[in-house]
Amino acid sequence: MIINKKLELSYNLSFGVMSKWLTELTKGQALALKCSNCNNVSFPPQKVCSCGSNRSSWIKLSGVAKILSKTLGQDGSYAIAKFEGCSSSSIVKLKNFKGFESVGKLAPSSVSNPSIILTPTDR
Amino acid sequence: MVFVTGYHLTEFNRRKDGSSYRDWISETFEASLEMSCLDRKDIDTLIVSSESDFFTLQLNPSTVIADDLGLQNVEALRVEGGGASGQLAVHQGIKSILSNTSENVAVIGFDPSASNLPSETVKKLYSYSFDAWTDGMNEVTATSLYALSIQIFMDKTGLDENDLANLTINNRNNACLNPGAHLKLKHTQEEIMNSPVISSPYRRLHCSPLSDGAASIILSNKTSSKRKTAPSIIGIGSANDKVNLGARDEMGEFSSKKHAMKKACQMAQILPSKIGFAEVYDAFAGAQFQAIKALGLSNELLKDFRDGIFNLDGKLPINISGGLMGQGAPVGATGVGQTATCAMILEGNYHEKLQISSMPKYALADTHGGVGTISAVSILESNI
Repeated sequence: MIINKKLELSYNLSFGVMSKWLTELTKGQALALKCSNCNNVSFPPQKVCSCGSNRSSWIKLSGVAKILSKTLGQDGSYAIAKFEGCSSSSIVKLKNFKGFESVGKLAPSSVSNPSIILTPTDR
Repeated sequence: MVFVTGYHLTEFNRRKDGSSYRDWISETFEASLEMSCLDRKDIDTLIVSSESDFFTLQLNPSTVIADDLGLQNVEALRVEGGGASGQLAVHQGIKSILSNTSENVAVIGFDPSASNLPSETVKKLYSYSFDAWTDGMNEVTATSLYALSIQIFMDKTGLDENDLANLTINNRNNACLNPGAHLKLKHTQEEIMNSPVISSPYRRLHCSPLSDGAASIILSNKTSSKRKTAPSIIGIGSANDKVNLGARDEMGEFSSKKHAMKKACQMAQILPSKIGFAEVYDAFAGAQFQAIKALGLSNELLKDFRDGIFNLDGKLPINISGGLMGQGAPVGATGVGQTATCAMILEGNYHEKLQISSMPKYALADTHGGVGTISAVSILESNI
């Protein structure tokens, strides 16, 4: 016997100390964490730096990122991109890219789904 | 010492017969228990592995499984670590024996990854197995993340699309000789290179399938006279890497695997070069190359591959079961199944057309979750 059972889930997700980062993300603003010990800048933010320090402060990035590599296909367009002023790279969703651009800017995203989305920019 | 006294895999495929994952678990447990020459009451610990309650709609699965298997007053628990769940469960069983808290452990991996939910739903759930607050919100798929990682690996090593196609052909050819395999398919390079692009460079035929199935092993602290040739597990290791690919020092490498292997080799007191057979985690065609390099199984990866070293009749056969790409991937069962396959090979009772003619002394089972985010490996030794 096989039955079809539907389960609908509606989560109230809280993000604690990361709320600030996600709120700014929806506005298209890139906040990063800067390590107080080694000045490493992470985006998405890493609460503990690779140097081992957990002391850090928020800084604002320009939101402009250089695309290092990208993948296209049925599953959508994504890239590894490095934001200006950031030490690490990020996985980003590409929107409105024609295929040749190598630089993008963080775009605003839905309040219900804060996302790292890049749109093309001249700089 | 830890001996693998019993082992078994069900068929891996998309079940259409109305059977349940609980049926597959019973099937695989009873078979491995019979092989171990132990009685049900000899099992003092039950460790199950499955990737997600979303697949089964059953929380706390170890308790209902214990009931199904007639196990009472045993330690019963579940281990979860994404794709690595099964191998991490094997590790937990070994630690239980080595700490003298168990004598005989049943480790059972399972997942109805294919038939219980639509594949689009599974794909969406999988995006939450990376960082749900970043990758999950972006709905990036496993294929896209693996694709970004392999691009960097290809640029660095010279691995090309022909290699991806040939590896796909090899693994699926092996699967054709494995009666329990999901994708028994004969491909041509042309078919593979014309299959739809899911996330460049990965095409549909470069991907492992979602499968249903279960696998089990019985781990024991001693062997009876009837199970004198049962292989031993002599080394285990596990390590993680950063979940966010962009935060890694080496985005194209599976560094966690390197560390896991180092730990396992230290425990086993052997070098990677002693491994004579391996089952590695080929979620996608390129992942097998990334795994072989990280595990230290080859110093000349592309040359060795192109020379057929990793083929069924090669010096170091890899994924002769077909791997995830051919045999299939019921996620929680994968690591247990890989370990069971290594044990079968080392005891000389694997599928007739796939049994290696020159019996290896050591075999390696390699499993990971995420894009090489959490890796777990086990080294087995023959006792023949």
